[in-house]
Amino acid sequence: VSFRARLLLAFTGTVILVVAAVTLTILSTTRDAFEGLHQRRTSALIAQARREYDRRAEDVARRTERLARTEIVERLVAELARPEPDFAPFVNEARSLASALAFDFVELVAQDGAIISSAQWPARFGYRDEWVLRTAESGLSGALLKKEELPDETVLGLVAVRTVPSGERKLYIAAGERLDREFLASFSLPEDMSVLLYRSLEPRFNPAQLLSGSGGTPGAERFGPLIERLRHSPRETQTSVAAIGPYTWQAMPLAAPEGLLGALLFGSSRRDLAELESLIVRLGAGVGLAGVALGVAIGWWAAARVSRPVNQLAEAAAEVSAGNWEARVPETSAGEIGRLARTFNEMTAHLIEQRDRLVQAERVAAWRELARRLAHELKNPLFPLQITVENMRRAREQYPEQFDEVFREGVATLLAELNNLKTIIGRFSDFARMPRPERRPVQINEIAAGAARLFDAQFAQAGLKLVLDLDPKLPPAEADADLMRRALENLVANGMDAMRPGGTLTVRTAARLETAVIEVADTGSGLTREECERLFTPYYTTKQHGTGLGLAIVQSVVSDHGGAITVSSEVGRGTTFHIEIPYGKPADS
Amino acid sequence: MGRGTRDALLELEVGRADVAEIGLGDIRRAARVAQSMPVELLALVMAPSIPPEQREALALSIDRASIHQVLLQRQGVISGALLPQWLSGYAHLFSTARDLPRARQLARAAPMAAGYDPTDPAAKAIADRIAVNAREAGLSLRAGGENAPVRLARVRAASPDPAQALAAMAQAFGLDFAGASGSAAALYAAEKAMLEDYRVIPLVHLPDSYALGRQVRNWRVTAWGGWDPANVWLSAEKKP
Repeated sequence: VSFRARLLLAFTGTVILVVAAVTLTILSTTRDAFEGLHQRRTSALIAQARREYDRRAEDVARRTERLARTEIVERLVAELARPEPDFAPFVNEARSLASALAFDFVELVAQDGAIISSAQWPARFGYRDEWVLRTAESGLSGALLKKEELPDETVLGLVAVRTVPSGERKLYIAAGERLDREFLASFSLPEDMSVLLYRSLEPRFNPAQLLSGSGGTPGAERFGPLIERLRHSPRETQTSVAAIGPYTWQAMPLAAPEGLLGALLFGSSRRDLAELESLIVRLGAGVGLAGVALGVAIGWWAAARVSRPVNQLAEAAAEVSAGNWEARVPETSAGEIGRLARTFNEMTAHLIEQRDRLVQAERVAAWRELARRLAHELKNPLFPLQITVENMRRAREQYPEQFDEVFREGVATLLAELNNLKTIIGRFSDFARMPRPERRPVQINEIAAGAARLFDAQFAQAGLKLVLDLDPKLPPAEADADLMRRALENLVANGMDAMRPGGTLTVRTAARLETAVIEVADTGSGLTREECERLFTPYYTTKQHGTGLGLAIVQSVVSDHGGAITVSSEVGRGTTFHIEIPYGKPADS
Repeated sequence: MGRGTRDALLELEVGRADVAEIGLGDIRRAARVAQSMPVELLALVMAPSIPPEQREALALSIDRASIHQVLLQRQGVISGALLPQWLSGYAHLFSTARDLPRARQLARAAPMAAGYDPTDPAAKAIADRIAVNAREAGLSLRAGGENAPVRLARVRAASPDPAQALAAMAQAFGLDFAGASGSAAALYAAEKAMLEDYRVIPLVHLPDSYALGRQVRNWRVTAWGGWDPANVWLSAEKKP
């Protein structure tokens, strides 16, 4: 990943993190504020429900008290005082009392708990109502919750019990009213609040027992966990229910001595909160996107400002590495980058200066070496020339009769030495005029074999052995056959000169993936490390009569073919020249 | 009956009538009453489609005493027989006892409906009571409904001759009666055979009851509920 991309990522990530953190903080704060508001509103509604419930309980108790003073009850009390009371005439009186005092339930109960008359279930006379007995004996005043069984259903009621004494006996009067939708309708609710009544009349949660003021409750089954939790721990609790939109529900248990008989569920709509949260999220997303876009733009600009000089430095360094020492970096920016650019430019300038000095020094050295070599090469033939000319002058002055003979011999010697001089000059001229290779597909094995076989007679005469180890799978290569043969002849001749009788010279070829390998190995005296390093320097030779151009010519030929030559040697063991020639033409040929 | 008898009783109470027929459960409203012998059987009739165990469970669950004492205001005689005791002489041999544990053993919760005369408030109350008794035994019986497999029926004894009365009763209830000699033992056996499958559950034998005004003197009702107006006279006592 480039520096610019990383810089962009860092900018963008920072913007996203900041916007997300701000959005989440606002969301959390808003949610807390709404929760508090909803909690206060729900608590107020629960307080209202408590008051309404208590008011109804008091009203039921008060009316039950009135019922106990009615003429029917007085007659029943009188009947009860008789030794063998007959309750049969009173079997339908509870209905009359319920109708007169607007009760849903009225039961007249004898001391033993037997129902004398029941308004809600007239046919149950004679059966015992244990709840009335327990309630009367407990001394609890006021109305209590009661699970009231009717012929076709079981309902929840708010029932008060009054005990009317009759001599030594007692008459119990139980009267009350249903807790149903009408009870729910008595609450004045804000528009975004709702109240439900659950009648816990069965061992398990029954969705049908969940009532709302307007009728059934869609999704009532989702209240099951809340009701079950309430049943096991009948205290006020709060939980979220996703059944009917975004509502928060708080439950007010309606408990009786025998356990939980019902619950009022107060729902507070979270729609406003949901809408506000949605708005905040959308705003956050918008700001985030804008921030990201701005961050990308700023990041791009900043990254460009920072990375452009770095890129220029990298490109300039790459050019220097490729050989273009003239590469320069603009010194436009200040600070560290600018200092780096100036230092880079100074460095390349110093490098060029050093290179020029080195080239100049090498050139002077080369001229000196050439002069030395020329002087050495030319001095050898010049001395015989000088001796011959002096002999001829001395013979003419001192031995005129022998001058003709001396003259003939001297002329022959002069011509021979002049030829020798010509040869020496021709060699230098040849090296200076090395032709460019003309490549054609050639068999390297044939060239190597031809170059080696040329010296068969000399090998035999010198008592040397020639070994050819040629790879038959070596493919043809694009090369100049004459130049390659000349280079290999030089190597074979060098190897032959380096060996004593009994030595072996091996010419080996091998095929690599992209290059043909040629090795010429002798078992001569070998070379030192210093000699190996200077071996390809023109005019350097380890032989007494060498020109020092042979290996330079070999290196020139190999280099012109896009190949490479190396030497490995061990003193006393021999020397191996290793050449690699590409099969195809070099790219710059 | 029903609404009509109550209206007649009301007219008697306000002095617009001197004699009024008393409906079920209204007998205590009458100050002076003239009654026949118990000649009408109030019984629960069950369709053959109801399993025998269910029929027996229902029969054993019914609390006849409560129905008689409270709903009928002790009007009539509790009975487990088709013919009244005064007519057959063996009605007391038929059990009227309630056996709730046995009923609970036999009961299945298959729902049933008990029909009754909708114009008779007392019939509805009795049906409701029977439903409560049945529920206590574990039966699911609901009062009301047309063409109910269980219905409350009233059938009068048609003849002073027990054999003929039993035959008529069997015919009225749709029971098989092969006939019997005139002996009480034979009649008892025949009646017992008719009742042992619990298709008919006798509850109470009811008399014909009449409320009499204060001025009515020497009003007599025959055993079969017939009137004998020949010796009736009205006193000069002022109407209320």
